[in-house]
Amino acid sequence: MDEEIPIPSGLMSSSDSSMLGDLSVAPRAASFAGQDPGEVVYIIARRDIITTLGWAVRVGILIISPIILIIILNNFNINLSPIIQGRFSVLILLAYYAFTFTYMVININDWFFNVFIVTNRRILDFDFKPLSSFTVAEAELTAIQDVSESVIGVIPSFFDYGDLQIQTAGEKIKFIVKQIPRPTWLRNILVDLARIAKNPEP
Amino acid sequence: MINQTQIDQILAISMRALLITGMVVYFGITLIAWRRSENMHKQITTVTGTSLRLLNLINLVIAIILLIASLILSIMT
Repeated sequence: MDEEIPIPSGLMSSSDSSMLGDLSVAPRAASFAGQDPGEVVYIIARRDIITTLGWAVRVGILIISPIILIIILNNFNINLSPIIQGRFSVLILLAYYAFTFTYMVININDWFFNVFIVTNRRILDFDFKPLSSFTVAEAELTAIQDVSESVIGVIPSFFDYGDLQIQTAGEKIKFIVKQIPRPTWLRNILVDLARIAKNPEP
Repeated sequence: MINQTQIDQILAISMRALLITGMVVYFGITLIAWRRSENMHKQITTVTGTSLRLLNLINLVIAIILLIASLILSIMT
């Protein structure tokens, strides 16, 4: 479990990882379905953590909304007890917060399982939708022909995240990895790994 | 003419029906989310993934408890 991950010297180290989990370099105890013997996971990248801010704010609003509603109802002396009996009002409130919790869990799943994996042999792009679909695309490092990066907008520029387009020689022409953190660094690593894979040093 | 008491009764019954329907839908969504996260955990295994697996399980247990509670409450009242 605690054994060191062999990485080409000087290319990257585990200190390149992000503390927030959106970029893990040389992750320990990481594996995936279909991993070959001797295949090592170098990088696990997810959408930048800042992209989760939208739903995180929505969850915050959902949490405080009933409190605001209760304050408004009390101020205007509106009594809902003829419609909602005491025990039911508690259950409705519990159900509401449970639904909010589920919304949060689904969004965490969505963020967590949409991953881009780089190993010493290939790249894999997991595209996961929490309630519907799941696709995986992969390409050998030797098949990488071109990697381009695009950082569009003020927020991606400020927080240093963007999209990577990976052109491969295979049938699937392009991999588009969206909202990835540190795209310049990752592009550089991919190009270097592809070069090493194509021309292994003796 | 329908008096106020009858309106209140209709509203109370409607609220219960709405609650039960909502809870069944909610339970269905939670069950799908849990099952899919379990499948994904087989695809990608990480240390953090184990914690997320537990979070999904807690979510499912909460959904089961609330579904049973709402059914019992609707039958009893």
